[in-house]
Amino acid sequence: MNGKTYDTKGVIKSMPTYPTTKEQYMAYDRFMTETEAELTKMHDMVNTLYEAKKQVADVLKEVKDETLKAEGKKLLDALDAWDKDMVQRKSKAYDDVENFPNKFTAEYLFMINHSNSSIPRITQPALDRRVELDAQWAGLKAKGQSLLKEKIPAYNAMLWEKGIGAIRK
Amino acid sequence: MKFRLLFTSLFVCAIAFGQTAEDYFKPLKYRNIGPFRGGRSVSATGVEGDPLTYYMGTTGGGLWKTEDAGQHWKNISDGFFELGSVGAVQVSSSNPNVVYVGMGEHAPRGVMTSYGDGVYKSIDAGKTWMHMGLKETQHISRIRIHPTNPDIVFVAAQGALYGPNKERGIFKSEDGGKTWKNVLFVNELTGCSELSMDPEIPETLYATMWEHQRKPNQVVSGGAGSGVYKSTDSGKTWKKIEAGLPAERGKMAIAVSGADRNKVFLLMESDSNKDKGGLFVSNNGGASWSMVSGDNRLTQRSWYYIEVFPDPNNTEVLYVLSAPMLKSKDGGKTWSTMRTGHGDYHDLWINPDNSNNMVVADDGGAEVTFNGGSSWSRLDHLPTAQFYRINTDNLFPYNIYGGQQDNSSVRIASMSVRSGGIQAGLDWTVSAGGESAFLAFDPDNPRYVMGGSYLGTIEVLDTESRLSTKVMPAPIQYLGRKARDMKYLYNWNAPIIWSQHEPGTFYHCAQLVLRTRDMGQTWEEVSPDLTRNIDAKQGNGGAPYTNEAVGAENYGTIAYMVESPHEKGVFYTGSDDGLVHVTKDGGENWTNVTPKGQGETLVNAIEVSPHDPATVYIATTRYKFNDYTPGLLKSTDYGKTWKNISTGIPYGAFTRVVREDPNRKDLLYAGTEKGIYLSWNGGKNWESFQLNLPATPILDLKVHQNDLVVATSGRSFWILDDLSVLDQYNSANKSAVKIYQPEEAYNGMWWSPLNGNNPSFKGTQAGTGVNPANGLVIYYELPELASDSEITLEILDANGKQVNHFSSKKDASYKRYAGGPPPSPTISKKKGLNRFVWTLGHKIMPGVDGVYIEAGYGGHRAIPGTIPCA
Repeated sequence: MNGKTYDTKGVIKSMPTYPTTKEQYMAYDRFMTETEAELTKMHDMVNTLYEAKKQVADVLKEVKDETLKAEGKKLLDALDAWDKDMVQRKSKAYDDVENFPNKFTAEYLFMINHSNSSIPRITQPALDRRVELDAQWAGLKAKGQSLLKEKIPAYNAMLWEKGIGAIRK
Repeated sequence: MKFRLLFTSLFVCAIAFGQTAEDYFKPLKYRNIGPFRGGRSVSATGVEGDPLTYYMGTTGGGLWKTEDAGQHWKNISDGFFELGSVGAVQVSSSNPNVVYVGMGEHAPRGVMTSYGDGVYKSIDAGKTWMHMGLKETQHISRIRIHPTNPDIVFVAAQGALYGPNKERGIFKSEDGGKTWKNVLFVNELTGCSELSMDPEIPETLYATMWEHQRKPNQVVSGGAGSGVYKSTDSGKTWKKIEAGLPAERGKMAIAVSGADRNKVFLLMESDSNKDKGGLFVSNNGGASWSMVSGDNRLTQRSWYYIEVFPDPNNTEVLYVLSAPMLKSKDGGKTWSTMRTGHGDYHDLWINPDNSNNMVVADDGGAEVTFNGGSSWSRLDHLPTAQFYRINTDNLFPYNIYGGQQDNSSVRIASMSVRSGGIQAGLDWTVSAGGESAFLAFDPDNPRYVMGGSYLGTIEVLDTESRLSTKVMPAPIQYLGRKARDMKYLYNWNAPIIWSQHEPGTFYHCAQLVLRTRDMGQTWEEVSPDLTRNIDAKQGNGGAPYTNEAVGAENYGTIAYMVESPHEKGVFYTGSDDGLVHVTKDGGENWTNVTPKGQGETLVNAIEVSPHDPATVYIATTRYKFNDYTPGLLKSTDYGKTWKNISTGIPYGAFTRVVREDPNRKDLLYAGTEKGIYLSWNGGKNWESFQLNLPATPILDLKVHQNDLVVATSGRSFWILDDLSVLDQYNSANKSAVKIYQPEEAYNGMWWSPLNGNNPSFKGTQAGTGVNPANGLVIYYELPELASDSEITLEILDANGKQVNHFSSKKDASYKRYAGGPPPSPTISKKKGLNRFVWTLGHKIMPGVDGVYIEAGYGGHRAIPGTIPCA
């Protein structure tokens, strides 16, 4: 009796008071699905690289070799800089978001939330802003990918050669 | 949107078992929509030494308490009291944790006064209650507790309202309510209307006994049994103290001054035509009386009022409660009117330590003052309204219309589209007619609402201009008249209906049916007298000393009219004296289809089956004959023959309304004095369907757009959404797992506590009405599952793509932090019926631990599956 599936179906109706057309709903759904997916990728990447950064910092405590240390510090700085472009870790409370500059994912989320109205409509400014932010994301994403797929593996290789455990990511 | 429910665990041996509706449908909840506009209270008290705490008894909504002097009130009797009508509440002076409540309001009206079931006691300031007997007293006017010994208690019981009974008079307990002795009994029609205790010597008591009875056509106030009594031995023996009083004694009240134990006030109804009633005073402990004032304001409409309260700190100051609240500063000679938030007053408590601090109980609730009445606490946060008849429109969201006793009629939205609750000002407004209204309109275009009130007043309200035109078929002042002298004799709630088959036509019922086709400009009589028209019962509405003629005692009136939804020209009427008629040709001819052997009874509601034009149900009650037998009847041949279908509804739960579900044949709902009942088999058997609804009489029900709309007598309106679950329920289906198809959902933006599934949610919110759940409400039945099993719910769109995913297991990796995302809800896997609301969101986006972002992380709302053409 394992894994049995039971089906039913449900219908969502448009509020009768909304003027929204089918095309507008579909544009909204497409926009939101895509941007929500991007934001998810962004935060996943931030979380992954943050973990990696912690491990690099831990490893550096043990490392004695000067070259390794220097390389490690460079990697750490790169990870830190990328993280600081993506999120603002000084903000921990409600009004902190006024006191500290908001970073990239906060901007992206603002854009997402703006398009999530009760009566949904994707406006031209929303489309334009997305293009703007997606362009920035392209760059940040590339940097992140590079850290993830090149710089960290490279440092791992260095550590391995010197007989120290890898940075797991 | 297609759903899949995926189970990933082993089942324990699964046998579906029989359950009552009450048990099975527990996850469903009625929601209280309001309005929050206080209804009637006839008893309130403060607490000596604690000026912030007060108790308010309502006439159908149980007992309420405030601990901040009326800023907030909450019900404290739900779950403890079997019934909702409170007659008296008293707190012990020596121990404020001890509270006694006497059930059954004491200002006994005919149309909606509910009986009680004796005495309840709390020893923890109202947190918990025990029933302490005197079940048959039905209406209690006062409780007095010994000032230093809370085990010595006196109960002033008025007794059954509609007929003689033994359990009435004054009862005394010496063991905290465990046992009672009937220390003063006069006769089976006489009860005690007031009891006062000497402020210094508690063994001395004063009492007024009231011979009274209600008949369907008359309120009898006064008789040989009425009398004034005194005891000086703690109630063991009593003697009459009537020297100087007129012989004709109606309803009376007595109160000894807290400032002078020899000064006693007596307010007395006597022969009103001879103008003998008034306020009397004795300065010798009741040995002799003299009249202080014969001012009619003190004794008007006696059966409903007669209340006197001397200031405990000043012999010259006293209050008399009537339609106005009156105050005297010269011992009762002259009187001035107090202004409060409502009118029609029934009880007063004055703080013995501070005469400026009082609480008054009136027909809008209980009001607290600290400045001698210059200002009072609010009444607009109490969901204790009494509503008579429901109507609904087809706007979005749909509105519910009804008349609130002692206030205006109301049109209230079934939900609030833009907030977390249904609110005054935004979501409800005043409608047509008045407190006892039937409201009629074209449900697709309810711009014009025809609404009525007592004595046949009727008006057309234009909701756009917000003003109205009076359109009585005959503008006659009926107040004060004998019933037989009224050209049109109207029920308190005179039926008014709009015709769905004849555009522009309205019907209004008196003893016959009237029709207008031009919004009340002209009317024609379209039926003969459709009642028994018993002339002997159409005299004065009040006797023997005072008439009463505001229309509640009119007898020989049509109480209900309904048009068949299937056939043009088919109408049924039911009269308050037991007759049922049908016409099949729009009123040209009427046939008497009264059930064989049906005598005088109130035919309160008629329901034509939505499934069969020949099937019709009636809800009848003889409560006005002191008979609380439920009386539902069914015919399948346009009323030619009838069958009683009340099995399963207990005595005491007398029946006011029955409705059939339009989607499931033979699924019936009944509204009774003790709550809601349900039948799956066309009325052959009934079972309780109360769920989370509090104990309160049900005055009307309506099934509208898959919701059950409920009008209560003291808890305002309630709605049960999700009737589609009942429509799909199949007790014969023995498979262990069932998924019910959810009702269609709107992609709206309101919030509701019903989005969650807190089992202890009572269906109420403080201050606002509860919205329906926002989303697809999914019900599913499970067998017993192992505690480590997991079930998951996947939501897929029309293309099979996953929109969201839920599990019965909490996400172990989720961490809550400020400025981060909320957790995704889990789904329950209890044995039996479960409920989950998918609030239409795509997956919640992840955050970054510890990083506060001012943003919403929720996925966007899924778009509609069917969208109307632009």
